[in-house]
Amino acid sequence: MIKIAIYGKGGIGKSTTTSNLSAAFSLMGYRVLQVGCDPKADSTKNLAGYQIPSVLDQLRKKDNDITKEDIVFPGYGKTFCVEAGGPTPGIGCAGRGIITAFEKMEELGVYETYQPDIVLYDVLGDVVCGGFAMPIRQGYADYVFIVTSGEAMALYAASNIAYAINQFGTRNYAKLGGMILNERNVENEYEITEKAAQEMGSSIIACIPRNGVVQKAEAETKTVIEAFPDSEMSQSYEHLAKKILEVCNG
Amino acid sequence: MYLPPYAPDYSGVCSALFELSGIVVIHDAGGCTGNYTGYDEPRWYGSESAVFCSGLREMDAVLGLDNELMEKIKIVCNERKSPTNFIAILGSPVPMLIGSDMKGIASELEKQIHIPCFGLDTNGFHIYHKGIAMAEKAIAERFVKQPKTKKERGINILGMTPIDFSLNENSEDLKKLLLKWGYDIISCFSMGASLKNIAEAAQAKINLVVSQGGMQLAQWMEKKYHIPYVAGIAMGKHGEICLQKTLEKALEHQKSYIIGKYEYKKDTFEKNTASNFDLPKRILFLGEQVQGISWRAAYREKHEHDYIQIGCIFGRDDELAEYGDIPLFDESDVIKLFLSEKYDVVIADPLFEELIPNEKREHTKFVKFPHIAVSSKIYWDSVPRFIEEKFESYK
Repeated sequence: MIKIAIYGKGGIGKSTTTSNLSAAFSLMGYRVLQVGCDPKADSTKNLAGYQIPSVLDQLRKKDNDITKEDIVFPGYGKTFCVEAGGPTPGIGCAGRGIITAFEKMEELGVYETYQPDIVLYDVLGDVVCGGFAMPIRQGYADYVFIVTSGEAMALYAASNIAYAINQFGTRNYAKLGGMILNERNVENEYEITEKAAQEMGSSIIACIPRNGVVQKAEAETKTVIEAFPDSEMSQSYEHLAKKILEVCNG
Repeated sequence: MYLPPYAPDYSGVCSALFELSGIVVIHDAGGCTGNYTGYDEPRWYGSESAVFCSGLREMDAVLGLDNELMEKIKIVCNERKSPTNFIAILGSPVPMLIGSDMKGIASELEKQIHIPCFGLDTNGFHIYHKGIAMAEKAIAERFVKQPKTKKERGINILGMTPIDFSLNENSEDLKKLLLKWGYDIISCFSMGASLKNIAEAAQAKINLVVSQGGMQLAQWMEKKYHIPYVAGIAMGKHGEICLQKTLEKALEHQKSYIIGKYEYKKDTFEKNTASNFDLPKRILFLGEQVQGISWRAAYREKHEHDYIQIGCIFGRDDELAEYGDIPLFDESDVIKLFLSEKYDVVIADPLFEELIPNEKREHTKFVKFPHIAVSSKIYWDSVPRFIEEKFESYK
């Protein structure tokens, strides 16, 4: 089982990238589990075709008495979807919510039952507290990839995430696999991002061009791979999937 | 509110590690450590066991100052005169809420000081036996060695702490019985064994689980070392007969057994519990599950007919339970049970007596059976010698 965490600033395109990666891995013949780790709980919307109930929603609704089937939902191809979810906005603790969702998944034996070849955690990277750092820790993910653009705020968030990973360096946790440049057509974007990546001890492993086909697919609540399988964007995501596997397989 | 909180998971860990010459650090502001040392540990006063509070403060939590915790532990290590076998770092409610990485901190510390370190995710919200289970498994995973040979009648005791057995003669009584039956006690988790004994634990042919806290280690050792287990203790003369038979059967067939377990079916249960049932008595044992099932086994060995139900106040382990044994998560569940059901006899910690509604007290005999996880020091000197021969189940 290969376990991958995708981090990045809110709104940078993590969920779009992760869902398309899940779909691409599925096309390559892998069983994939995608776990959304964002209180918005919309990471898997385009993969499942609808917004699935989150683990925390179900815990709230069913008073902690839930089964695997309450939290794992089938998605496109051989993919399975889980959303950690979050507390009611304005109260509670979103980071702790991620930890609770992870503990519940382990307790219910989600990994053993669904036996994914690849697990993808899609994690909000603006706040790297104990909860949002959970996928980096204790064997949840083997590699972390950061989605960024050449914009300052995206690179700042990327730098924080890289710092958290380095903090855990002595604990044998997840390694930083590389940067995924989700292009925003910033001037000299590749050079700016690559320089920043190098300062973080990393590099860009692939670029995702800006393309309107992504919005068209999202309008259909689908991934690009599902909605426009022959498009150039689909090829970009498939290329990214291969690059990620190359990194993970050494 | 009638009951104090039950002994929590960190108390279970501390109790299980108490005698093994390690350093135990509870990462808390002081209340959790004080709860353990003041209320859950009858051995504390006068002992030399190294249980410390990390002195967690607001800014430590807000800023996640793991390094300061590690530095404090290093100071304790350096100043300690006796050798330190291991260091266990335990969580409490605040580290749990902020997601402190106890295992990661321990792993980092071990690299720096070269002493075995464990991080245990206790949080104060779970019951003590989860802590016993965590601690015993962590110790076994680290120190038990692959056996070169097996001892024919080698046995380990799993899950034994003063929280369930008190400091009276119960633990020694049980060990004497095993010796009388010709068993060779290799190690006792976690009263009266050294790490050297524990290292040899996999030489056993059988494990004896004496509390809910010992179940996890028993299952792990069965999987890893193919050692079957018996869950049960000998409560009184008839309990002795029961336990001896069960152990011999398990040893001979190399198969695990739960003492006295009936494979009740739903219809049998409903027949037995119907309002017009013709059984002589209806008895409720409220307490630790292995004690409950052992008491029931001893009772059946002698009387056979009465219907005995176990109220699992520390959570129900389904492997130990029979159909009809009920999980009771808090005192409101116990009150609801007393309101809806009628029992002739209730056996429980004295603090439960107040929960029986007034109108039912006259018809219910209450048998006091103190448990340290419930009533702490109030009754810890009154825990009965339940292993010895003259202890009898109620009739």
